Amino acid sequence: MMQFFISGLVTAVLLFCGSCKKGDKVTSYQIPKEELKINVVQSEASRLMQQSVGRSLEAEAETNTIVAPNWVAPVGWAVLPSDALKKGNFQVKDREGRSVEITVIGFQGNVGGELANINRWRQQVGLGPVDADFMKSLATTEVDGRTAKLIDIEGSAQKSIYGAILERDGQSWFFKMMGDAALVKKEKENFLKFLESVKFTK
Amino acid sequence: MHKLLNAFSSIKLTVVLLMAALLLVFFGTLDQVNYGIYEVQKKYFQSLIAFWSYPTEWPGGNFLKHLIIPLLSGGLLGALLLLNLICAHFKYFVLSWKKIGIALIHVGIVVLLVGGYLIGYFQEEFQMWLPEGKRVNFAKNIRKNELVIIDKTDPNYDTVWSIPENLLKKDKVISLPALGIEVLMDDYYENAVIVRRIDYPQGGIAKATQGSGSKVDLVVFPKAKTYKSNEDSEAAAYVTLKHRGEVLGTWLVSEDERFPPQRLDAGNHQYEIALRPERQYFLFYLELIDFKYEKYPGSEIPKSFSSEVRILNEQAKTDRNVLIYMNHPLRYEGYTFYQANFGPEETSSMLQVVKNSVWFVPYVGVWLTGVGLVVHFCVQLYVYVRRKKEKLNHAF
Repeated sequence: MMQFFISGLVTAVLLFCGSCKKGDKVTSYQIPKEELKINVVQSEASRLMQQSVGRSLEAEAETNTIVAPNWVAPVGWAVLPSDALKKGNFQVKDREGRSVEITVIGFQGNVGGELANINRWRQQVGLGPVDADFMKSLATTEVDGRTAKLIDIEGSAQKSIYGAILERDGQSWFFKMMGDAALVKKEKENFLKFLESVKFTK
Repeated sequence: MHKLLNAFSSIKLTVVLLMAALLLVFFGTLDQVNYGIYEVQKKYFQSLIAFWSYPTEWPGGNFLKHLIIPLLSGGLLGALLLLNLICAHFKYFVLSWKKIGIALIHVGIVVLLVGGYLIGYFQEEFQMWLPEGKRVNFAKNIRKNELVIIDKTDPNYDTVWSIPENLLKKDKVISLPALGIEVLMDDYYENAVIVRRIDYPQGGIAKATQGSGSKVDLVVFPKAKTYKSNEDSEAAAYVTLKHRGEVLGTWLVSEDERFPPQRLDAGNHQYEIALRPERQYFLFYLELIDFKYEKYPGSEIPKSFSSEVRILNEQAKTDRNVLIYMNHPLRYEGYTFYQANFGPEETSSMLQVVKNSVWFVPYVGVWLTGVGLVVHFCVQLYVYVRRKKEKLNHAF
């Protein structure tokens, strides 16, 4: 009986030690003034940071596992070069010199949620944020068999955004048309046709 | 209770546990492809229960991805084996000089098992980058981050407040009463890409109202944590700081090496704030005198890597040079420094630093088991020879 108790106790103590976490407290200590900022690699990196904080996404492009869907771009949409983040990039210009840009971007996760992204878009066209109730009023459309939210933001200064946000298999896809308000309105039909043509590869 | 003791001392239990250990090693090895050795060790060998799931990229993965196999992990298996061994020992062991070897073997195995736990708990690993001609007094833990607030006002030293990664969770509030500062973790991303909004106007999370994030107008794109050996996850966080109740603003901090510590004004005091790999500071400096990378003549095949390092310890009045190279680490002040890597153009060296205050435990375990085996062999030999002799005596 006693032996069994001792064995059980030893095991319990070990299990407890194995499962407890180290480093759950804020610590404070003093260190001599740093002679060296960080290390060679880092100081080179800091220099780059000062030049431009924007990161070159070439390396990112190689590792980005998000696969772009297929689509059919409407006639009149000029294809612009895509990059690591922009899986699709188009431009429409009319004779009066007005232009809109259409982009398709996909990410893993919900990148802050739909409301945060809608408010960010609103900010881009000079409007204030909306609250969660606004989400209920949004129209929807179907993109490759899934429901996407349609966002129509008529901004100030003749600038509008018409876009769709699609959450699909843990990824968030942003289809966004932004530019001159009148041209955005004119291109809405083409944009919806474009959304209809989107097909994700399995 | 007697039944329970019987069950726990049974050899059947030993066999079942050893089979479970085999399964654990098998599935752990399969998962190593996806998670790398460090995560697999944590998931399969340093926990109590592990779950292996069928990878989606395998044939039929779409259907079989729901196939999840629960496994007894190293933590639980070790404890049960230990319990089994101790119970069996108490139940079957009879004190006699003939069994002394067996007792030693058992004690050795117990020490080995206990040593596994102790090492898992006490051993720490760091990396130390040394550029040629520079001296450094810290190493970095690349598996864990810390959020630091540094007071640089004193001309002689810096005071660092370090918040460990375990506390860096979304919505967590951390108080630093000595500074009158409260840190609210708005968001913590295990891996993220930070870009200028101007380059990528769509998507991304922008919350910073202070520091680089706000000045350069940066946005964060969270990414899944990577376990690939050739890639690093770069954590980032949005933190809102309050000083004596007054909100100072929201900072974007990142362990991305392009993010130097950022200035933070609180009251009349100036601090720096940064998210960085956890640092282990030493009471001594190491200075890299020279890094040498030798190749076999006429080829690109590496022959040897070595770092000539100067140890500077003011307290111990130490100032000497040592050579660290393959299989010849430097052991100093409880740390072991191994030659591990080197920087571009061979002008910097990376040392793997291991702190393990219980390093001797497995040696003791192996030594006891070894001595036990030898003793048991000798005792059995003696008994055999004596019996043989007795038989011979009876025969005549």
